[in-house]
Amino acid sequence: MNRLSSDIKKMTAAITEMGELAVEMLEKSVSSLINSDVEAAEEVRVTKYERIAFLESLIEDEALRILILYQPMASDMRLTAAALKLITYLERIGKYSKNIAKAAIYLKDRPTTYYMDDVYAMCDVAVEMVKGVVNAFATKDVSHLYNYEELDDKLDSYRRSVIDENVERMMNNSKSVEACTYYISIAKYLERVGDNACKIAEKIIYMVTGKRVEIDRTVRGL
Amino acid sequence: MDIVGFNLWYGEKQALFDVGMNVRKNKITALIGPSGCGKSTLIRCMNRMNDLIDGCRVEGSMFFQGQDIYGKDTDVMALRKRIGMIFQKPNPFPMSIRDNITYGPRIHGITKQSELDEIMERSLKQAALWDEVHDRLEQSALSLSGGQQQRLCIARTLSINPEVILMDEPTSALDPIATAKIEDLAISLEKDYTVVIVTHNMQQAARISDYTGFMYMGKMIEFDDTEKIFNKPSEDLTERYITGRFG
Ligand SMILES: Nc1ncnc2c1ncn2[C@@H]1O[C@H](COP(=O)(O)OP(=O)(O)OP(=O)(O)O)[C@@H](O)[C@H]1O
Ligand SMILES: [Mg+2]
Repeated sequence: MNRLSSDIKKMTAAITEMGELAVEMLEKSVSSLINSDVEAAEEVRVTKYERIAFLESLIEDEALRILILYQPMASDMRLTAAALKLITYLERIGKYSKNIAKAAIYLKDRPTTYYMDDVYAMCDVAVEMVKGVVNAFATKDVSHLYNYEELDDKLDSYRRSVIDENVERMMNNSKSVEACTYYISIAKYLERVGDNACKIAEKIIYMVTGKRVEIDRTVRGL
Repeated sequence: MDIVGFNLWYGEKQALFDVGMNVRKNKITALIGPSGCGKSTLIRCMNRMNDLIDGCRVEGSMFFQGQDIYGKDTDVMALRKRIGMIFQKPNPFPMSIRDNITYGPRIHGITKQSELDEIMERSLKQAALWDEVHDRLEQSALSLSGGQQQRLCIARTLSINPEVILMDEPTSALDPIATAKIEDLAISLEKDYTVVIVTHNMQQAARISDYTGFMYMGKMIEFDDTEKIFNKPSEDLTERYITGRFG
């Protein structure tokens, strides 16, 4: 194997690790929220986040090094170009997971009997989206990424109902304001996770097919 | 220029197999491929330089503006005036810079000194060499650096006003600065001339050409827009070659 191939392989492995870590952080933060598991939340907030931030800079250095040393072409070029974007989106997913974990820690002592199904449904969709892109990166099968717009729309509409529900609660009970604000924030984080998963989907479709597509309309402010 | 079902043999050995491609007017076409794949052979065919090689035989057609380059009544000298060639190694004539440029026009019947001077200045300017040599035109061309000699050869080719310029690895012996000058030159020639360039430098092909052909073992494996070739080629062989995963 020549040096370019082995460097590309190393970078691919690091991106795969980063993607899997993002999935793990999101799943853990969501389950820490549902199960009031402070220990898991702390792990996401500190060690996992440190690792994902480290991987971001590691892969950035590696991608720039590959560009400078080899001036890669074709699939190598598309992978390297995609890598420089993917790491930004994956790190953001890590950061939103960290924020959800922080919220879980805060909410632990403020148990709620409220209806939570919409938040949980958002968690499921967001996890599905992130898992889907990480899987597509590994398998180069992008067929399921083309319906991300629908999933993104789903997240948007759940988020609106989470906001409506919580606004109503706050109006009925002023003591709930703090917790409700957290739920609204969590819905925002999950919705942003979805946006970033859409951006990742676009980059992976480009990486695999060489074609540019636009999935995430929300970025244009719709 | 249209190349259709073109085959070539050096004696018993076939070097080109059913090659087809289209050289677009006022565009730059690059030919890439591993050593020995037939790039030089193909580009030499375009102005019948292969006629000079013993035992070389061709089949198929090459049309230049509707005329068959290998047709019986084709005037080869006239053809080479319209389709000029630059080689890998600069090959200036052992004479003054001025005479190198005016040699061709004189052979083609231009005798008036003022006209020759005009052609010389225009050609040297087009080849981005004028500023470096205008005060030493009587010196021997051999006193120039390699990069300057290569640009002189380009100026010499331009002096007879060709329509197509064939370049076979014109920068392989040059430093990055001289290379950049030749590349700029190729791009600036594009609006008035058609350029075909053979290069081993993939980044160079990507930088300057509009179309790229990838050859392998005498065959044209893939011919397409340069952007397509270097971004997402259709053939696995092309992909493997340009990403360096070959053999
Ligand atoms: N004058 C010749 N007589 C016999 N065989 C030749 C001659 N010129 C080239 N060949 C053969 O034809 C094949 C193609 O050679 P050609 O010079 O066209 O390759 P190329 O793609 O230009 O390679 P390079 O990148 O090394 O310049 C080779 O196998 C070569 O040995
Ligand atoms: Mg050659």
